[in-house]
Amino acid sequence: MRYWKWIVVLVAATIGASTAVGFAASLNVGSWHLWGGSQTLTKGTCTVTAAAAITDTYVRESSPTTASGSLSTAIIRADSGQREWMFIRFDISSCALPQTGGADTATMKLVVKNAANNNRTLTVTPVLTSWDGTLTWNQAQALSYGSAATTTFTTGTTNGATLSVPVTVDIDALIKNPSASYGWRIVDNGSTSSANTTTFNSVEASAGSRPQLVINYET
Amino acid sequence: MRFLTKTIAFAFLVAAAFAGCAAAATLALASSSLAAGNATVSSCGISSLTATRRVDNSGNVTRVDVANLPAACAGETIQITFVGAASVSLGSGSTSIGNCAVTCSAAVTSFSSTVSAPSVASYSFSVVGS
Repeated sequence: MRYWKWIVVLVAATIGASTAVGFAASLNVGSWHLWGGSQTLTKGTCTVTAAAAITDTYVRESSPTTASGSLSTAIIRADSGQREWMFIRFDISSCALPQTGGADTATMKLVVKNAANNNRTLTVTPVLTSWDGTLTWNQAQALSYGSAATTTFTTGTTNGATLSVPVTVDIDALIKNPSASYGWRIVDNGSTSSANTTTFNSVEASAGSRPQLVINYET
Repeated sequence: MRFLTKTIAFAFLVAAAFAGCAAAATLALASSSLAAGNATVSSCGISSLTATRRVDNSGNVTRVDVANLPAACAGETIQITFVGAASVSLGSGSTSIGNCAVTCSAAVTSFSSTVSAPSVASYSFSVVGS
C-alpha cells in the first residue's frame, strides 16, 4: 500500500510538470506573415532624337501673333515688352514603355547656339494644355501651366555647349499617363538686358545639335 | 509484485508520453517571447503583386502604389522593401490596407530612408496580419 502512494504521486507529478510546460510554450502566438513575394525590375535607356518626335517653338511678346515653330532656333529673353519664351515637348511613344513603368532619370539636352553675355538661370515649367508649332504669344497666354516649376538650370556663357536639364518627375508622370504630353515652357525671369538673350538650336537644326531626351527607365 | 511491476511500467509510459509533448512544445523556445504551438496561417488570396512608383525630379522615390490586392487583405499591413544590387536593402515603407469592395490598392508614401530609383533592382513585399 505504501508503494501505491508513491506511484500515484509520481504519475501526478509527471503529468502536472509536462502539462505546465506545454501551456507555457503556447502563450505568445500572436501574429504571422500571411504572404511574401518580390518583383524584379528591368532597366533600360531610351533616347528620343527623331525630329518627328520633337515639337518646339518660341513666342515673342513683340510679335504677339507670329508663330516661329519653323525656325532653326528658339530664343529666350527676359526684357519687358520683348519677352521671348521657348516651348518644347517630346513624343516618347517610340520608347514603348508600359504605363506600369517609370523614369529613373530623364534628361532633356539642349544645345546653346548663342549664349548670353552673362550666365542666365532659366525656369522650366510644365505645360498642361495642348499647343503646337503654330503657337503665338497671344495663344501662349491662354495655356495652362503647372503651379510649380519642374526645375531651373543655368546657361553658362559658352556657345555650342550642351546643357542637361533634369525633367524626371514629368517624364515619369508621362510614362504613366501618355495622353498628357504637353512638354514645357522655358523662360528667363532674371534681369533684363538685350545682352541676356539665350538662343538654343531647335528641332529644325542639324541632327547633331537638335534637342533630345534621354530616359533611363524601369519596367 | 507483478502488479507493482505493471503499475511502474504504466507510470513510465505516462511520463514518457507527456515528456514527448513537452519536448515538442519547447522546440522553438529562443527568447522570452517564444513561438510555438499550432496556428492556422491563411493567405488572403494573393498570388503575386506588382508595384508602380513615382519619383521627384531628382529620381528619389516619393510613392509606391500596389494594386490588385484581394479584398480579404483589408486591415492587413503591406510592407515594401527596396532591394538594390547584391540584395542590399535600400529602405522600406508600409501602410495598412483599407477596406474595399473587390480588389484593394495601397499607397506607401513614407519610407525609412531616401531611396534613389536608379539603385532599385527589385521590390520585396510582405503582407502581415494579426
